[in-house]
Amino acid sequence: MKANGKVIKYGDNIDTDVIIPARYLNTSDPLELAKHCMEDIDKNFVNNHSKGDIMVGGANFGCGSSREHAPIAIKASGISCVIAKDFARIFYRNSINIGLPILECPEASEDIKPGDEVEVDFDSGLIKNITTQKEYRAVAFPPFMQEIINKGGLVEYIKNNK
Amino acid sequence: MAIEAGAKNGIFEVDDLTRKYMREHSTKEWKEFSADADAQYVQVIDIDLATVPHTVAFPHLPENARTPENWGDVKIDQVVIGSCTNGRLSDLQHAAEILKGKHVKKGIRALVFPATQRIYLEALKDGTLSTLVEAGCVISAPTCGPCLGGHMGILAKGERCVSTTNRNFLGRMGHVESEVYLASPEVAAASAITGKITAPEEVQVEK
Repeated sequence: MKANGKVIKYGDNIDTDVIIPARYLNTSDPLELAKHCMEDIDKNFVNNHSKGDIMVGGANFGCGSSREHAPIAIKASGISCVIAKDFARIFYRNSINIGLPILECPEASEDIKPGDEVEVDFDSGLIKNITTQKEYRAVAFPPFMQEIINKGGLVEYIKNNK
Repeated sequence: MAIEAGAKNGIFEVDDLTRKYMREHSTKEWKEFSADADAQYVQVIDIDLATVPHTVAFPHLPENARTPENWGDVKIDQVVIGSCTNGRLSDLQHAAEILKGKHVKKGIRALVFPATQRIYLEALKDGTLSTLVEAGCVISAPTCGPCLGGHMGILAKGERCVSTTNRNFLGRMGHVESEVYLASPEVAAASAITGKITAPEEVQVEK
């Protein structure tokens, strides 16, 4: 499985309150959540990205309240993958559980610029910056985790493996 | 708060206090786990909690911690005491000790959230809540409420809140241009009296 898209980049400590502000948690409709994704730090995100784009963050991405709505909002926005220096643990698990591919790669997080075109191969963990022709290696998901993402999340994975 | 400090998790060795708590709060059998006697640690850090000064986390990160010499003059609009994080009976009692015989400054909203119904009842019976109400606090039912900008105490544009809750991210308690300062119940109570971030030593405590 591969992702390919333009990069939208943010800094360190992107918390779940800015990914999806709590005032919108009165719904769990993914498309409704996506309308407000990132709006407190980036009002342009919702209108200025295309389906398949890749979100790149710094350290401790997804810190704060355990909120499945956060990775759901990013996924429903059409973001194909999140790359960060490292992720907050609960967000990491939530992302896998709802089927949002996320990769830890400090070098890629540091190097990649906003607007770069990036290709990610989830099977090998290879991150290729098409714009600069640089390559980075993240740890690939083990097959069972990739399978959970492929199935669209933990619930669908368990339904399918009964 | 271990997670807010950047830890993966925070666990404690079971002690007699924990066992007493379990006996009082659970009817189920429990199993105790403890570290191996020969366990190896990457790093050991000893902290004498008695020596930790009053600490307030300034906006917009819990790790943005400052001690009194760096607080400056921060005027506030609201104080939140309690929640899951600092809503124990002892927390409410400590706040009440500071507020006893005093009054929340005019124009400041002081909201108190016992962590549980049981704590609410205990604080009601021992007079803690009376003291807080007499001082001008509003008592709420145990709820997440204002901590995540849910309801009751949502901050308006430009407002500042001293809160004993656990997170102070951008827009956490309401408007994206509001500010949350995380503090202990003691600092929150003292700040309610003065209307600015204040160490408890600065307000005289009646014994």
